[in-house]
Amino acid sequence: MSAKKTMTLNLTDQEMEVLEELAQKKDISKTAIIRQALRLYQLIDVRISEGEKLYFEDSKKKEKSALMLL
Amino acid sequence: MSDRSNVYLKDLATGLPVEAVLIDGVSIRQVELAEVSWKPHIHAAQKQLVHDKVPQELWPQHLHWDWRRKHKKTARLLACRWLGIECDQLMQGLTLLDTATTGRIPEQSGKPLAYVHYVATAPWNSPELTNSPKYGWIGRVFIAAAVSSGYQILKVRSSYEVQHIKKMASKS
Repeated sequence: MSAKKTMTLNLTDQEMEVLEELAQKKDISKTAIIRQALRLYQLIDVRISEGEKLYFEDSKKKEKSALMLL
Repeated sequence: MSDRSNVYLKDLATGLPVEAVLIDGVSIRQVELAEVSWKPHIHAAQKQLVHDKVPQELWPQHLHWDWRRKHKKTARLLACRWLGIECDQLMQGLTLLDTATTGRIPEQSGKPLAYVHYVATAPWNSPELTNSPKYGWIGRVFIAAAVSSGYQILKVRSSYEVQHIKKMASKS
């Protein structure tokens, strides 16, 4: 992979707790979680910018709700 | 930005390993050069398939892939990684990995994996297109590269797999 740069990330206690939970649940590092989040965020942002929509579907209720990105 | 590392391919004429370069972060220029070198062989293969009256649904899927278009559409996405293998100053294979997906089988659920969207060898390496393919190990180098990056391959959609499934289906 390309050369990496280091940055300090300021998180609230709650944000850090969520990050640690996700890292533990998925058995990967906190850095890997942040990287994955960035990859996903960019992918979704680009596709929504191109006019596509992202839906969550409740298979029991047969309901769909579109995800909106800020 | 791209990284280059040394890998080995198998020279299928001699059976000996030969040095090659794995490129992680293939540029649009490299994709264009690959297409320029691949196209005459692909056109010749298409002509032969037409001559042999092979139905189009049995043609190798990658014959019609537009690598330039795929690259332009995905190159700036962090989730997409373009890998290529160079040997003899020619691109011997290309693959596009999607690293934004996660595992679905219970023991890997939610863990990151590299999904192989597209993978193809140069036409002169493809046993589907020539009776004397030049280099082997293209696919295994790509898979090893993805795995060594810390991802787990769960599903591969390659022209080989598609053709293999079709052949199996036609036999059953």
